[in-house]
Amino acid sequence: MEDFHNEVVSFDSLPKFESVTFTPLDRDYLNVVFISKAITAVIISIAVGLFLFFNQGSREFILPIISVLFLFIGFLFWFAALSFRKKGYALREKDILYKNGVLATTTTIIPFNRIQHVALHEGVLDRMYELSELQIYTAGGSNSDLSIVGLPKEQAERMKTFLLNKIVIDSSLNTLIKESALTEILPEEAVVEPKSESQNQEDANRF
Amino acid sequence: MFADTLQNIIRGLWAPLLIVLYKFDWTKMLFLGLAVFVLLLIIGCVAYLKYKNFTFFLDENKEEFVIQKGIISKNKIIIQLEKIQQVNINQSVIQKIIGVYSVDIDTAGSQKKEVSIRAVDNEVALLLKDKLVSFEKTNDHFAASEEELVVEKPFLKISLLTLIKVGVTSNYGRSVTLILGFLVSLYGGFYDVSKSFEVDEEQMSSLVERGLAYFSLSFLIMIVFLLVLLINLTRTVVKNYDYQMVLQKKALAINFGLFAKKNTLLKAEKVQLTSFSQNFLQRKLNLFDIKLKQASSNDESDKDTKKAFIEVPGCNLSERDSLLKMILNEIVPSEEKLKPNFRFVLVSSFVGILLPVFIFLLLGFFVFQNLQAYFPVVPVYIILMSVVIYFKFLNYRLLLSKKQIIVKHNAWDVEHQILQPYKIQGITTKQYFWQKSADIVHLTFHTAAGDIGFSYGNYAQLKPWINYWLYEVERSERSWM
Repeated sequence: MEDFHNEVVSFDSLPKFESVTFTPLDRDYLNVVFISKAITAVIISIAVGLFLFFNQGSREFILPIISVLFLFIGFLFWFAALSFRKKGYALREKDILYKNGVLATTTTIIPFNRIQHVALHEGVLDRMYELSELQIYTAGGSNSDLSIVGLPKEQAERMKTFLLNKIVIDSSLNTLIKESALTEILPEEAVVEPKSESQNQEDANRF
Repeated sequence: MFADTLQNIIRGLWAPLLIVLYKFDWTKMLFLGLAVFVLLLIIGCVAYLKYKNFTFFLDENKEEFVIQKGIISKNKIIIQLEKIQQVNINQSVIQKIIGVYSVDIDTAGSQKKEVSIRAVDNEVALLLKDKLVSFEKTNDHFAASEEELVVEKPFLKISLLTLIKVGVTSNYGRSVTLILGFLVSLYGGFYDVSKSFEVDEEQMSSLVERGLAYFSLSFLIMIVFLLVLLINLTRTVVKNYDYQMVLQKKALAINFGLFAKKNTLLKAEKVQLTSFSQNFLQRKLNLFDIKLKQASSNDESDKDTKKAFIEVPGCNLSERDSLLKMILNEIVPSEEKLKPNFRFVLVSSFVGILLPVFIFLLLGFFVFQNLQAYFPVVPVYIILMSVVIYFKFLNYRLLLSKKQIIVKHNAWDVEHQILQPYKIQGITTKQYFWQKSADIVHLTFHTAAGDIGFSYGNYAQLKPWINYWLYEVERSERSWM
């Protein structure tokens, strides 16, 4: 209690979140997005093709149907590229920012000392390009959970370690946070470096 | 314990049981009797085994509460005492007859109540409650400053009269939907009956229609209104009868209920979000409705959000202030008042008035011709909605100060949601591209007790505040729970 300060804060001197420059996602991620969109497009095309094949009556409208299909696929790719360009993240000393959204720009800010746990996720396509998705969980419910897609795998690992360290360092000041963070970290690591089944079970039981 | 298991099993088996009852030919009476007997025997055995295998104890050295249960697969639950948010001691009617209580222990962790001890006697329940929540860490440096809060006299007591006032003035919406649901199901039931008895349908429905016509509309409305009042009144009184709030060290103990007694204990610092609301009538009567929301992993959309909030149904201004003071430590006047942009009105009138009226008219003219009989309702609806939107806009404010964020909203039940900056978990801003030029932003605060938001705010005005809140969260070493 003795070292408690409460100096007057001038709003102008505070670091400004709005002037942060966001790091764009890795270029390779655009390929991942395009591949997954291409798969979707192929599936839709097959469905439309089957419809045309089995439904005799619809063949009269073959031209408009095909053109709508192409327009739709084009739109899909255009939108994906746009949304890729709109995504970005920024790490500051004490918090992480993530923005996304085409129609609406949504920026979410999570202070490090409110992070509950961090996870890495790799999809099949991600793995081809050695990318991962960094998922950050808070106690604020699913709306405030961040998942940053399209990070190079090494960088994602580094960020994860960085964030985890932040949580632990913060917690040395505050026993309460420490325990809640530890609870989260340990099972987390059990996922990253797979242990034997029984050991996992033990961890789960303990927490 | 026996009753509990019975209840559980019946809950699981009611569908097959119904089928059995339905298809039963009464010649096999003996068989049925035997089956029921065997079933009861099994239930008894299971209940006894469950009872035998259920133990709990308090490890004061490790500061843990340990529960062991399970017949075949053993379960051991360990809860650190400082993680406990709330302890509920409930007594349903059956439990009242036997003279036992059930104790529910609640932490922030999972969806449902973590631990429920179904039957303990009075002494044990009180002891548990006392030990579990009043527990303080020996090295707690906040203890000294909050020592003055140790009072054992009732802090807040709600009299029957107040409850009646509350019952008359609140929750119209909920009761109206309740009654509507009831009426619809009643009508449906009536329809089914008339159908299954193979009454001449035409005759019957014309009878119903004429009957409805005889009930002049105003009369019907009056009856519905009275019903709403009555239901509200009984529900409020029965649920909150003899409502008492007592301060115990750092915790609040709350007692209420006429038939099913509820006794809840919570720690003040675990409250994440505080809100009080008041409608026009309640303002005249000096009544407030206070909600204390705690951390829960449920999302707002889940129906089980009720678990983590505590309602104080009726208190006056001074009681409200002392309660808020107790939870928030201090009440600070707001320094800045932010209004929503005027587009708020435009968008809500478009969604609330223009669109539904347009669809209604469209349907009336082109699809269902007989809807045209109801066209006179349209101007009434428009006027009503305009008033609602006007008041919504008038009441929609963001009141800011260094220590508190207050979102004031709603047209009728004007609610103030109070959030302390250090309890923010994250902040989201959202801006549609057509709102960039008008500098409008939708702001959402994520807290452990759910999101609260302020839409159509002025971005330029909010930016310094957002920076300040982030600064406040990031430098604060105060734990948010």
